[in-house]
Formats: sequence, structure tokens, C-alpha cells
Amino acid sequence: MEIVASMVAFFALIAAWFVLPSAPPVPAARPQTVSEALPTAA
Amino acid sequence: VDKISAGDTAWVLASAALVMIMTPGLGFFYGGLVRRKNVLSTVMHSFFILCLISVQWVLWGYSLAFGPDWKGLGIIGDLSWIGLNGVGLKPNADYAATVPHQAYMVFQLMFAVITPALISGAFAERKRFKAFVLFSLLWATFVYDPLAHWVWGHGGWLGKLGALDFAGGTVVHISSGVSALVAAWVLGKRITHKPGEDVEPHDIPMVVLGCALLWFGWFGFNAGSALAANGLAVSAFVNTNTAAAMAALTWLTISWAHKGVPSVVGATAGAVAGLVAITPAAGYVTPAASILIGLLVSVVCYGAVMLRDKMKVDDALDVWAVHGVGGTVGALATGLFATTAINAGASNGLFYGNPKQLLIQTIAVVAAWVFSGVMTFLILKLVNVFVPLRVSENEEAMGLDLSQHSEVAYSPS
Repeated sequence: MEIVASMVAFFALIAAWFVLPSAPPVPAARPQTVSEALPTAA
Repeated sequence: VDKISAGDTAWVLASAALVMIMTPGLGFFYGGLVRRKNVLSTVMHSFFILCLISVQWVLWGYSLAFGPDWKGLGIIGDLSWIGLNGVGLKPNADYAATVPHQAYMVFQLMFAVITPALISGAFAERKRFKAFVLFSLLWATFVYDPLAHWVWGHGGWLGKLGALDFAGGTVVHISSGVSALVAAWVLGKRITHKPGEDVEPHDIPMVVLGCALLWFGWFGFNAGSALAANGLAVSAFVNTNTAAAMAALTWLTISWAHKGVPSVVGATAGAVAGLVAITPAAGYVTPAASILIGLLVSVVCYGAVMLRDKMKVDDALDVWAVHGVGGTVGALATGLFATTAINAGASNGLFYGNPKQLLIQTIAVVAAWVFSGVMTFLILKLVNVFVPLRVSENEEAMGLDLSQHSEVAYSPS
């Protein structure tokens, strides 16, 4: 019984991966790098 | 009645832990080699596979790989050990007579984990995370599990043929290396990578840290494969360290002569190549042979890296050149250098009067290359039906850390 339940749980996760978004919404702008944020560091 | 040995059990469990740390270590190794915009996604490949295959192995992977042979064909285990049903705390003499069966199972689990993680270096910086997840699960089930059964499973056809693979030169390294080449070919080149152009590693200290963790864990990988705290484990331990060191020295020297500088990344690549090549041989050869294997593998793998550079295949982190070719060198070298003076339960190689062993090793190598390559191609095509394998060009240019995970590795604040 426990084996069946654990199998169901694992396959439920796998099924979720199919329907979840492939990638998060693309951010409008990427964060600055250190050198961009602190020009003197470059 | 088989009796559990406290010493053997302690060593096998400790070895399982050592092999476990190799996979996050691999994540660091690969993570340092990619550009900073892709480091998280690369580290995540290894970490996620550790979680994914740990469950897959318990539920059905171990049964397919090591379960009772299905119909006596030597191809795959049956499903009678599904969910570790019947895999308990008493030893199974077919695999390890002095440790609990579950200790052997969890040791093997760590091998099943790292093998698909090795492939991730080939498709770094461009594979969609969801496609990676599905590919890894299918690859573990339909490539790794059968191949492990062929070589190590009770009744497996390559094992019955007499193929020697002490810790996974064929099962782990050829399979992952060849699959990496196929995956890189199917996915195509990174849009930001032109042939012949170097893509600079973003964090070389991270590469060295990852290499050190791999080397450390490899003692469990190889010496643990003796499955006992005995002289054979010591032999494998010594050979592992010796081959890694010799290969690192050799690669460093070749790259120094070739490019004029003693490359740090080159030294780590050489060490890994040496570790790969000694993997199938570790429990069968002398320390002197391990020096020769270390020398040989770096020469061959360095050439393979140059060959890959000329090919139109963007194996991003040279998984094929180091693991596929290095594993092949190790498997064939086992057929040359194996001696029953080291392992009385094995066979001599060509240099000890048994040319047939080299033929058997060659058959195992060819079988692993063909099976891994064809199956990987089919799995990638199947996954692509459901999920595009690659990210979009915009996502690739942005980097996978942001486009796939909405996270950045190094916060500016």
C-alpha cells in the first residue's frame, strides 16, 4: 500500500511538471552586475 | 548464512556518502566553467538530479538495474523489487555478502544519480529546464538502468561475458559521455558560441573546488566498489589517487607545450580524465599501471578536446571528450593491464597473457556506445514532442538563471 501511494505521489509530481509553465515570465530588465552598479569597481 | 560485517558496512555507507557529494561537486565544477548568467541553472542540473533519481531509484530504478533478471535475457531486471520490496537489511550474496542489501542499494543509487548529471555539461547554457527534467527521468530509466543491469546486474549479459568494469567506466562514463555528444548534436550550438571561440569560465576557483570534491568523492566511487573494507579497496584507493595525479600532470604539460601556459582549468580537466579512466580499472591493476593509464588518458582526451573543437558539435563542457573518450580508454586499458595478482576473482588482461579480455572489453565498449547513443537520440526526440528542448534565443541571450529560474547567482546588493 505504501509503495503504491509513494508511486502515485511521484507520478503526481511528474504530471505537474508537464502542466507547469516552461519558464517564468521574462523580467523586464535584468539586475545590474556589480561593475555596472559600482563603476569604480571596474 | 551471510553475516553482516560492521567494517564493510561502515565503509560502504561512508562510500555512498562520498559518492553523493560528487554530484553537487560536479555542479560546482560545471558551474564555474559556464558564464555567470548560467551558473545557477548549471548547478541546479546536478542538484535536481540528486533529488529526482534518489526517488526514481527507490521506486523502480534499482529493480530494473539489479532486480532478478527478466526472462533470463540478461537485458534488464524485473519489477519484483519495485519500491524496494524485498530489498531489506539482510545481505544479498549476489551483490555484497557482508553488508545489508539496502547499503548496497544506496551505494548504487549514488552512481545512478551522478551519471545523468554528467550529461548536463553538454547542453549547458541552452536547455529548457522542463525538457531537462523529463529527459533525465527517461534517460535514467531507459539507458542507465538497463546498462547497469548488463554489466553489474545478476545475470546481465555483459557481466556473464566477462566484461570488467570495477566502478563504472562503461556504465557511468561511456554512457554519459556518448549521450552528451548526441545531446549536444541534437540541441545544436549555443547562439553565442562560434566554433573555435573560447567561452571563458566565469569562476575558476569554483572549478577547482568542484574538481577537488569530485576527486575526494571518487575514493568512495572506486574504493567503495570493493564493497568491503579490505585490501582490494586499498588497491583501488591508491590507483585512483595515482591515476588522477598523473593525468593532471600530463594534461598540464601538454597544454603548457601547446598553448604556452600551465592552465589551471587544464590541470582540473586532466585530473577528472584520470579519475574517469581509472574507474573501470581501479580494482584490477597495479599502481604502476595506474600511472600509465593516467598518462595515456590525458594524451587521448586532450586530442579528443581538439577534435571536438573541429567538429560542429557544441559539447559545452567537453563531457564526451573527457568522460566518453576517457571511459573508453579506461575500459580498454583494463583489458590490457588487469591482473589476477591484484584481484584473484577477475581475469588477466592482454599484458598478462589473456588477449581475450581485451576483446571482451571492446565488445562492452561498442555495446555501451551504440546503446547510449541511439537511446539518447530517441529520448531527446520524444521529449521534444512534448517540450521544446531549447530555450528561445531571447532566453538564451538573457541567460538561463533569469529566464528559467528568475534568480541571479551574484546579487549586486
